[in-house]
Order: sequence, then structure tokens, then C-alpha cells
Amino acid sequence: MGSQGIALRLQEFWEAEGCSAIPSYGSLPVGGLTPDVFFGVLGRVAWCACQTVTIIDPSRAPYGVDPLHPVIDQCLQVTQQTSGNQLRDRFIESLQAVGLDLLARDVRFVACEWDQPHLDARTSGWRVLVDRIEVGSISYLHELSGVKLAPMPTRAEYSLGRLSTCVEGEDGDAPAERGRQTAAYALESVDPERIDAFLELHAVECERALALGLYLPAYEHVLASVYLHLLLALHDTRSAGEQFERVSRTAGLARGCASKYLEAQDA
Amino acid sequence: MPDLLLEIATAEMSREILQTIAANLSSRVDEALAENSRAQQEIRLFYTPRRVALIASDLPEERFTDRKLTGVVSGILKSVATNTEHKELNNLDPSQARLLFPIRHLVCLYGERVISASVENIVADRVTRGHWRTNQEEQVVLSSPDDYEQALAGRGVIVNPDRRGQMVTDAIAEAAREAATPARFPEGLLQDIADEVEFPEPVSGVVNLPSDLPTPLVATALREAGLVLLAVDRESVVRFVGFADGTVDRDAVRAGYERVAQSALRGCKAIFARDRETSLADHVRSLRGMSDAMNLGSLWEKTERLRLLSEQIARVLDASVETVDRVAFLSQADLATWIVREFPSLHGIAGAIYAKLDGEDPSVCIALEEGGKSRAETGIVQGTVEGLAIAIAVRCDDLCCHLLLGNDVHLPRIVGIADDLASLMIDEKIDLDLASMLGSVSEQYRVLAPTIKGEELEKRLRTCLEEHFLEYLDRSEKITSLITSAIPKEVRANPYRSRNCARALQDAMNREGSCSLLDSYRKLSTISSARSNRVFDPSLFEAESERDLWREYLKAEGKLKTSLAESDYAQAIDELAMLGEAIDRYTRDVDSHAGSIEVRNNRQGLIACVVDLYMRVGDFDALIASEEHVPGEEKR
Repeated sequence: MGSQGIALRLQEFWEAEGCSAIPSYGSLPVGGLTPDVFFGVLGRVAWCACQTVTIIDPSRAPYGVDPLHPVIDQCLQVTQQTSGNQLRDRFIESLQAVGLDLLARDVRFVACEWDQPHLDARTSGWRVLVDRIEVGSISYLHELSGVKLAPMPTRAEYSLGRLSTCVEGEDGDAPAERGRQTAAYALESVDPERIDAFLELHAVECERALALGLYLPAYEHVLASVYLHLLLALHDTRSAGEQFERVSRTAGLARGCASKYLEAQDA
Repeated sequence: MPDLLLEIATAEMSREILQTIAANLSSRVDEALAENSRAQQEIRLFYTPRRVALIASDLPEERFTDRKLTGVVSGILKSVATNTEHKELNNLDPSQARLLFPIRHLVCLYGERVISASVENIVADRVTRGHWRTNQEEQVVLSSPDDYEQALAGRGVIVNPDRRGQMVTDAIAEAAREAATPARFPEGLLQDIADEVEFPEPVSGVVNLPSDLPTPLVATALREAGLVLLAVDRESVVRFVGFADGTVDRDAVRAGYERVAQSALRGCKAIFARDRETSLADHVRSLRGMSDAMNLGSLWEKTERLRLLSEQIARVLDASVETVDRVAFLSQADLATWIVREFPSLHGIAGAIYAKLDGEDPSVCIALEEGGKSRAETGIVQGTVEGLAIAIAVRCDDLCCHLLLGNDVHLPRIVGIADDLASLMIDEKIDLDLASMLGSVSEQYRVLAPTIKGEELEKRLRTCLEEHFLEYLDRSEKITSLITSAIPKEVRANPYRSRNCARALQDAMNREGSCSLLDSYRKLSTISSARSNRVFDPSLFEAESERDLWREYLKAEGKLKTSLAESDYAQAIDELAMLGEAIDRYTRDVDSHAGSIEVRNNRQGLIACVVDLYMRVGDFDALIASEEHVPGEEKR
């Protein structure tokens, strides 16, 4: 079936739950939210979406090329704006739908919290492990850009490569050249001062777009900044206080995007 | 008398939340039952990631009607469901907390009867559920609390965490036997594993070691992946064991575990190889721009402080100053390595490994490993004086930094550092006044607290160290504050001496004859004048009892000096006790107000010197005051 087949099977499963697929999103830094999700969950109408995304996680770069620690990971994210305590049960059913035998395998739900300081977001839920391989997570998004979300949106995320490994019992596809080069760049070529300068440029551009009421392009600058923060985290040796200040600036821009979006909704 | 069973089943909780809720539940039930029965009931606490339960034994039926219990238990459930100290739940409103960790079912039995306690529209009954995966949450009907453990064990759930811990320990021992290797029981890991599952099912695996990865790194990489290293054999085969939750298809799960183990080791190898491109000593340069993880200033500054502190400690311990300085120089360097960034628990251990590979002197490598980590974390017993010097310097510096930065000194982490430092110095019998060493480092500390002026900085550090050590004695050595308040001020920043002093005073107070010791001191203090100087001329003594006291004083003073030099406070107290008879005779026979001024002053000089002897051992004024305020009952 491969990871593509699993993605299709999962999309069918969630389609039947009333959650349609929307176009995939190119490169999302880990800890970020695609624009569809960011603005979708802030909106005032019930919303849900099933989307494939390519998640980039430079913190995995020191691990080298390893399918279980991928720098670039294909994921399927299912976000629902309506809360419900059936998420865990649905997730289990979806794992069964792709052929995972729950009776045979060591399936775990490990409770945890994820702070996403760049977006001023707070999430909690469970990492899902199959035979200790992290195949995904289910979570509740409490807060986004300073907005308390009620009802709390839920998110199910599947790491397609790792899930495929668990279902089929074979290592997934060989890591792409893109992953290798991204890792090499993250480790070898990052100059913190240049990254600082890029962050400044993105912040200025983001503010300029926000001043024009263009929250969508402004948010792309936020996501670009999140990626830069991740690169910086690998090399930055400044104090936690200084790093916090820098991250807070990006969080402030994300709040600006949220606020412009909500203003536009109210207009 | 019937037992009470209460079980709350939820979705999977983190270990921290689980333990908070379990502790809350236990204390609330304990309080409620004690309030209603005026007696303490034995409470057995059970938990798994998906349930918290307790059994309170022998509740008297005349005091607990079903109706009363329904109200009591409902009240407890409500308060536990909405009131927890865990930050994750505190940040949420109660409805959100319930959504995250919804109560799935409740069980409440009093003997064979159901207590229909309820919370959030869920009413307790006698039906619990088996393991969610292996038994598909099969309903289990309980006839009484006695059934609880047994019935659930039959459905794939071991509710007793200690029993799960024992199962994990036994399984590791068995797997080690099969692999013909000594069993390793990494501290903390076994109970962590036991707390993550409802039924620990061991699954062993084997992978090849990717290269010459040092064993501590292999163990840590596997541990991070939730697996326990059994052995690395000569053919570089790594044997490990993992624990599934409930029964599984072992072959399928083994393949998954082996894939995870291989990946963890491959990643670890990549990180290790990257680190080895730079020597440990070269990593020290990176520390200039690096901040301490706890925001305690730059790591470079810390290294400089450690060099100053450890040099002084080395001299006291008669350790090699040269070795200690090299160790202090390298002690923080591994924090700049990728391996410690990825696995912070390797701080110290990784430094020692890299130092060895760099060809550093073996004594430096050993001391690096011994000095870096808390003993509670590693169980490493200090074997070399150089390691000991670094261990003390690191902890002392951490503590001072927290204190100077104004961090809350009651935070568990800070208390933990103070306790670690105190226990280290007590166990290793290190007779050292820590505050006295800080003078040479005060300029370095001033960077952290520029607003604190002059000697105020040293004074503040001394006071904080003293307070922490006294609290340690109260907490860990069970020595009451009534006793610790009598420890002489000048030894309070010396945990070893403080402990010996407090123990000796406590023993003396508990012993028969303590009254005579205190009485003797009381007699002296009532006739002594605070203004008298400590000089006397024996030729001016008129009565034989004066000369007697003088002779006994001289004998005691010499012996006391020796005892205190050896920090033998018990012996010192015995020496003081020997003065008792002479003091009795003196106070009976000599009128301290009689005679010329010269004679009276001479007597006061002698008395003041004898009082000083007592005060060198302990503050007897404080002991007398405590005896008068809390007669007897505070004694342990």
C-alpha cells in the first residue's frame, strides 16, 4: 500500500466522518500550522479539513539520515473545529482502517503538552506509538495567538512514512535528497547573525502586509520566521531570555495576523 | 468491618498528572474518613495510566451509612475532578479538563454494596473494565473490594504499581539470565516503564552496534526510546528488552522495537561522530556565548567560578590542585556537544567519555564523571577526592547562583541541589565551611547580582546556605528545629559539622541526664554577667570550689578542643557533662557577689570562660528556651 496508499485510506476514513480533503501544503516548519488551519480554527463557522503537509524539522538534523528521525516528514493532518471526546476512538478506528491489528501490536497513547511559542499556541493531547514508533498524535488546541478557542479544535496527525513502516513491517522509502541537503544546511551552513537579519526582514514585511490588511501573505512571513527560529535553535547559544524575546516578536506577528483576520470576519 | 473501593477510569494520563490525582485522591479520602470515623483507615492506592483507585480498609458501619458514604465520595470526586495542582489542568477551565481526561467510568463499593456516588452525571457502580486493547474494555463485575486486584489481573490489568514494577524487574533479570549477562537496573527507568502500562509484557530484541559507540551512550539512546540495554557483547551485538502494554504478537512487536533500537543507535552514532570532530577542550571556547540552562549566567563564567571554588576545596581535601583545575576547566564543556544537547542526562558522563578519547589523564576523566551529576540521578559514589572537589564546587555554585538571582529558594529543584550538596558533604565527612570559600569568588558572583553591595553579597549567601542546610537536617535527618536552632552560628554553613552537632545535642536531650547538663548551664548563666571579659587570675580564687572549677575547666577545654577539631560533638558533650559536679559545688559554695570588685570580676571571668565552652558546642540558651516552651513532646 505504501505511504500514499495509507494517506488515501485515511482520507477516505475521515471523508466518511465528514472531514473533506483540502489541497496539500508544501513545507511547514514543525510546530507551525498551515494557513488553512491557522485561520480555519480562528473562524466563527464550524470547520474541518484533512490535509497532507510536508513537515520540516531541522532539530532532527544531527541524527543524519534516518527514517524514524526524518528531517522532512510527510504527514496527514485532520483538524476539526468542533470538540468532542470521541477523537481517541476515531483515531483507533482509523488505525484499524489502514490494517493495523490492535490486538497484536503495542499501541500506546502517551499524554503530553506541546507549547508552540512562535504562534503563541498551546496544545495538549497524546503522542501515539505503535511498537514504540511514533506514528502520529491526537491533540486539543487550547489557545492560538492569544485567543482561547472554544470549543477546542481537535487534531489528528499521522506520520505517513512511519505509519507505513508499522503497517507493512518494512522500512519506508529511502530518505530523499531533499532531507539530506536540508539536514546538511541546518548543521553546516547556518550563520546565526544572517538568520537574525532574515528574521528582521520577515518581521518588517509581515508588518507591512498587515498594515495593508493582507493577513494571508503576512502569515507566510510568520511561517518563514518559525523555520528560521528552528534553524537558529540548533546554533544559537544566547540566553533563554534573549531567545524568548526573539520568539515573542514572531508570536506578536502571529497575533497580528489573527487579529486582522478576525477584524475582516467582523466587517 | 467492610472495605471501601473507589476507582476512577479516564483516558491515558501523563505520569505527572496521574500521580498528582492519585495523591490528591488519597489525601482527600484520608481526610474525609478520618473526619467521619475519628480514626485513621489504612488506604491502599492503585493506579495505571488509565485509572486511579484506592481501597480504604475496615470502615466502621456504625459511622458510615450508605447515604453518608455517597455524599462523602461524591464530594471527594468533585474536588478531585476539578481541583488539581497540576499546571496543565490548572490552566484549563474544568469543562476543558474533563474533555481532555474524561471520566470513563466509576466504581464504588462498600463491602458488597454499591455506593452510588456520582460526578458529572456518571454514577458509580460495580462494573470496571479490562485492558482497553487486549480485552477490548471487557466489563468486569466486582462483588466486593477484595475482588478488585484479582479480577482485573485476569483481564490484563495489574493495578498495583509496585507489582508492575516487580514484574518489570523480574523480567529484566530473566532476560539478563538468558543473555548470560548481569542485569542492569537503571534508576528511575523501571518504575517509569511500570507506570506507562497496565500490564508489562517483556519483548527482547537484538541489534548490531553501528560502530564503537560507548556503552553509556548506547544505554541512554535506548533508554530514550523506552528500551533497556541488557548487554553489548564482543561481536558488537546489542541485546535489549522493551515492555509492551498487554499481550502482543511478540514477533511483530520485536521487529518494531528492533527498528526503533537500530534507529536510536544510528542517530546516536551520527551525533557522536559529529562531536568527535572537535576535542572536548576545544568545546570550552563555545561556552563563552552559551547560557546555563537554568539562566544562571554564561557557562564560561561558570567554568571560571568552578576553577576558583574547586581549587580551594581541593586544598582542604588534599586533592591534586592541578587535576581539579583541569576537571573544572572541562566540566561544562560537554554542554556544548550535540550528544548532551540531545540527551541532557549524559552531562558529565559524555564529558568523561570524550576526555578519555582525547587522551586526557585518567584521573581527570574519572573526576569528570564523578563530579558532574547528582548522586540521586546516577548513583555514582564519589571515589576520588578530585571528583569530590568538583562535585561540591558544582553544587555550591549552582546553589549560590540561584540564590543571587533571587530565584524562589523553595523550588524543588533548588532544594534538591541543596540536599544533594548537604548529603554529599555529610556522607563523605567533608568538614568544610562553604560560605568561607565564597570570598574569593565574590567578584565573579557580583556579575550575577550587581545591585548587591560589598560584603552584603557574602552575608546573604552565608545566610541562605545556612537556612538550606538547617532545613535539610529537619527534612532528611529528622532533627527538629528546636535542636537545629541551637547549632552554633559559626558551623551552620558546614553541613557535616552541623549534622554532627545537631545529632549530639538531640541525643543528649533525649538521654537521661540531659537535665543535669542543662541545669549546670542554667546555674552558670544565671550568675554570669554579659559584660565580663574572659580573663581571670587563678591566684585570686578564694574557695576550693573555685579552684576545682578552674581545674575541671582546664581539663575540659583541652579535651573539647580535640573533640571539636574532630567534629566529635558527642564526645564534646560528654566533656561538658564532666563539669557538672564542679559547677554544682561552685554555685553552692561561692557567692559571686561577695568580695572585692577585683575578686568578683575574676570570678565572672572564669564563669564566662566556662559558659563559652558550652556555647562552642551548642547554643544552650536556645535549648533551655525550647525546653521551657515545648516540654518534652518535641523530643524525638
